Amino acid sequence: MPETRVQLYFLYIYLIGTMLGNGHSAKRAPRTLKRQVMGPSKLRIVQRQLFRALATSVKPKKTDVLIVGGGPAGLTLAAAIKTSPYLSGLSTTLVDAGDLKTKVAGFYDAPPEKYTNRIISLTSQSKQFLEQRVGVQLMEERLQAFDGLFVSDGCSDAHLEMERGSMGYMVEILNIQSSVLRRLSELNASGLQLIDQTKVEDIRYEDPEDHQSWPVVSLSNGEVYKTRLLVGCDGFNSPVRKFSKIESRGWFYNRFGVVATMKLDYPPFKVRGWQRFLPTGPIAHLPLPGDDATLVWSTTEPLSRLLLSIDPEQFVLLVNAAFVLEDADMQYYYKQLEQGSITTQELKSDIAYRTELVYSKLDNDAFIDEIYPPAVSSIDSTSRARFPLKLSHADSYVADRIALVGDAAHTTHPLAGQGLNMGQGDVESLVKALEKAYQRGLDLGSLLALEPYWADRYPTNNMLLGVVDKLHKLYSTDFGPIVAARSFGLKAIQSLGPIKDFMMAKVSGPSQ
Amino acid sequence: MLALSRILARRLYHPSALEHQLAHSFAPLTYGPGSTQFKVLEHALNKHVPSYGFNERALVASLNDLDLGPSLLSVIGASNSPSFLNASPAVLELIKFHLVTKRYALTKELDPARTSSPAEPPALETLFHRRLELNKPIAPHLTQLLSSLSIPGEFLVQTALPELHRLSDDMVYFSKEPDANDFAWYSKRIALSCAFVSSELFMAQDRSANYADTFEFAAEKLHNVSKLGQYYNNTEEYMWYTLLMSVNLAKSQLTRS
Amino acid sequence: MLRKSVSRPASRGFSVLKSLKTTESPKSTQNAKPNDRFKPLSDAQVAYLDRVVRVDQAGELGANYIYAGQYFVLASKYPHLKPVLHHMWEQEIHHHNTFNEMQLKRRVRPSLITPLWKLGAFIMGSGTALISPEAAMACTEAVETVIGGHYNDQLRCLNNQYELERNDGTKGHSQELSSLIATIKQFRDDELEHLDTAIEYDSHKAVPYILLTEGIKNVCRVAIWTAERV
Repeated sequence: MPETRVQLYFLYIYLIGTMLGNGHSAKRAPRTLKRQVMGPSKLRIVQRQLFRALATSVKPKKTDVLIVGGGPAGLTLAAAIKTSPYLSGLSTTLVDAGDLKTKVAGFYDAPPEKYTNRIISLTSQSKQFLEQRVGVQLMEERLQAFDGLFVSDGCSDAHLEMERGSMGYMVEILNIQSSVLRRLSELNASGLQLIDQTKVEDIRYEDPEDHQSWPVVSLSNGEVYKTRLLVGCDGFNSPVRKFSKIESRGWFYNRFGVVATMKLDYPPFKVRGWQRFLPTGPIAHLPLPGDDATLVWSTTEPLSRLLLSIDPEQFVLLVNAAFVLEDADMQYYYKQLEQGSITTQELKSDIAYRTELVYSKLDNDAFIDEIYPPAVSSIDSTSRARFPLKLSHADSYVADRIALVGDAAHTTHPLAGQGLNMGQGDVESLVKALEKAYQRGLDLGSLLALEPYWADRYPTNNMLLGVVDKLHKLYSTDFGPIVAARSFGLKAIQSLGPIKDFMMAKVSGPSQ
Repeated sequence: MLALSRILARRLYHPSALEHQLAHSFAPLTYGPGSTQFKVLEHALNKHVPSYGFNERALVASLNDLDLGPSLLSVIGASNSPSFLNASPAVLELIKFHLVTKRYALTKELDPARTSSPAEPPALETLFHRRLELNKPIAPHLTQLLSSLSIPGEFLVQTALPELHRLSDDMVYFSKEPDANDFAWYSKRIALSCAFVSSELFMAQDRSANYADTFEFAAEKLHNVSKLGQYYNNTEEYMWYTLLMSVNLAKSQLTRS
Repeated sequence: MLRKSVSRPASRGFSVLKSLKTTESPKSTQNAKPNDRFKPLSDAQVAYLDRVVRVDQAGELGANYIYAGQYFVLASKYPHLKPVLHHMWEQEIHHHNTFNEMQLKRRVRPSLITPLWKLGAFIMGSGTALISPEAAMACTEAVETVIGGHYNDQLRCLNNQYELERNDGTKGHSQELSSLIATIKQFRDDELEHLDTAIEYDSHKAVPYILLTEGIKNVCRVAIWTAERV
């Protein structure tokens, strides 16, 4: 008993000493004194806690759920918690480095005329979840439903036509984010706090020895939060995942995705997506309202640089050619453009000549509209951008008091347009798991509460990642026998309805 | 497998040549540039092989040039060049001399043990190209050379294959090509050796000006080697990924109760 | 190697593409005059060094993958073991990298059956970890015992058989050999520290202790014998 009092006494001196003196001398003296009283290790812990408390000089605020990252997944999760009959009482905090409150939220009321270049495909399932469960009203005039996908092989004439009502929707990411923000502000829910333009600087467990203690998160605005459950929606380089020491495995594809928003010659006759698997990577041409469309062209690193650097007019010509001409022709153009030994006019007439050759081999001119996408007339040259493609999957989505959602847990090649939908699926599943845990009276941060989410989502995501990866591998070769085999496969699927339906159901959810 | 590792094992630990003297400066040749044998073989290879080919005539001609009697022919075939069938040991030694000295010539400017200011490591393609360039003077006799090299027997196992492996090893080591620490070390060298032999075979038949076709062929072959390496790495990577993900999948389902 | 899973494209995933190119730089030893140079190593000496580098590289590769397996299985379930395992694993990665570098620099061929070592080591690590954390520790104990002993044998031989003569008649170890000896010594100490850690974390409580440790020791001995030769 006297010993404890001595300890407290010295601690007190220590505290004052550290607060007063900013030099080392003030700190050093009590340290030597104290070492005689407490063991060195104990001392270190006390010191560390003191320093932390002093450095921030704030008492951590408590919150039930802290969401790091205000992308579609993070925002949807916040909204889904606040609209849940069981969870709406949880105090929820969302932290994002970007400008959510004015810039992103402002998109809803004053959208720009042109489409932004971050456009994704939203499956009916995801849209339904957003609208019916979370109550989000997307900006309908800025999204485009499409009811078919025409997939073709760049090395053979094999193709696959998938058609059904409301296969998916092409939506701008900003559309989703701002609509969810709108929903959040309508809810005006108590216990919800949005902190934007703020970075997470440090995460640690309240008691570093005990991994079941609450994580303490320090923010760049000086605030400190102590949370029951920390959710990482913070993307591929997730700091939350790094803190949780959950490994993520995978690889870079050595491919880049080039995006652009495009204007068409005329509004399409059939509103559907077009995808052609070139040996350098798939190129996809997806509809937006009216005569707008969006492009995702996955290609090798040098080609992606070329595509970004060439004249917009040349870019348009290449996009149109890529859906019609053979790979050898394309390779020829790339080479000429790289060396700068072809003028736009020459390129134009050469492509027009070869395209005409291909068209003339068709039995009927009416097929042109059937198997080739509508011609692009121009692009918004400021919308051109590229990003590296990769596959990654975390070993686990949950740890004590931690859950990973969306890109923090998995990233995928965009060829099936599944990235965002997987994140939405995660949110749906995590909220269900939390609701169940709440009903049973479990601690929401405990593994027991979180593990069902992992068990539910891991197989689905693993399967989708695997299928997309295998499709990429299958189509990134021009090796004869493989081309023959995959063309045969594609034709077989094309002629067998049930398999096609099954696959479509896997990719875009059960038909309605 | 054992035979393979025995051939490869000839390339042993390389102690730092800056600290340790080498037993032979042109290993596995057991004689140095100062010896008569070296001089005769070098002279023959540079002067007479281009016209006569790899045979005793070339050697006799250079013995005459150097004012050494033709009787020395029997001395030139060193004891470490066993003969097969009725090929002359002297000719086999000449072939071996060709292989070894050309290999050393390739890395003369790159090896810190032999030059005080080694050049920047070139690309693997460059070295490969350079080695084929060195074949140009004897290209008309490549067919003969390759057939002598490929006759099954002691010479093949003791000299031809190990020397081929040493060439590939040197090309990887002295180029800026990233090397491997595991099985890929072997596959890389074997693939490179195959590419080299097929390029030489092509060169033997090549009638294009300045062997342009050969170099194009070689570039194509090398490209395949690097693609093969990528396939190897991707496959290994993929198998680990699949293994770990399957365990994760099982673990995630085990939490259901 | 298994750890840094998704990284920059240049050094990819688990893969072996990492460039460890280390051609000798003449700068470090340039001032060695011809007279300071050592007489050539004998064939037997070179052959032994060849084996040392190969077997040590393979051994550290195995250790790396054993810890990878243990960590993979144990990390999520037993958070208190995480830092301990992580520390030991980091050290093994360092050892492995050191020998990888040496293998390339000294141009020694790696063991022919590295895929087998990788898989076997990973299975051994994860397999024992699946039995129990104590069994994993027993595995560590057994492996480190054999490796420690093996390093000691190597040190003995390197100290006894490599007294080299310089051209001017004096004798000694070349820098290259003394640094090799120092490396092996350091690594042996690390391994023995792992051995102590394993015992501290209840390796003796593993069931069936004798069967596990003796079995694993024998596996390691066979592996060492094989890696030296193949």
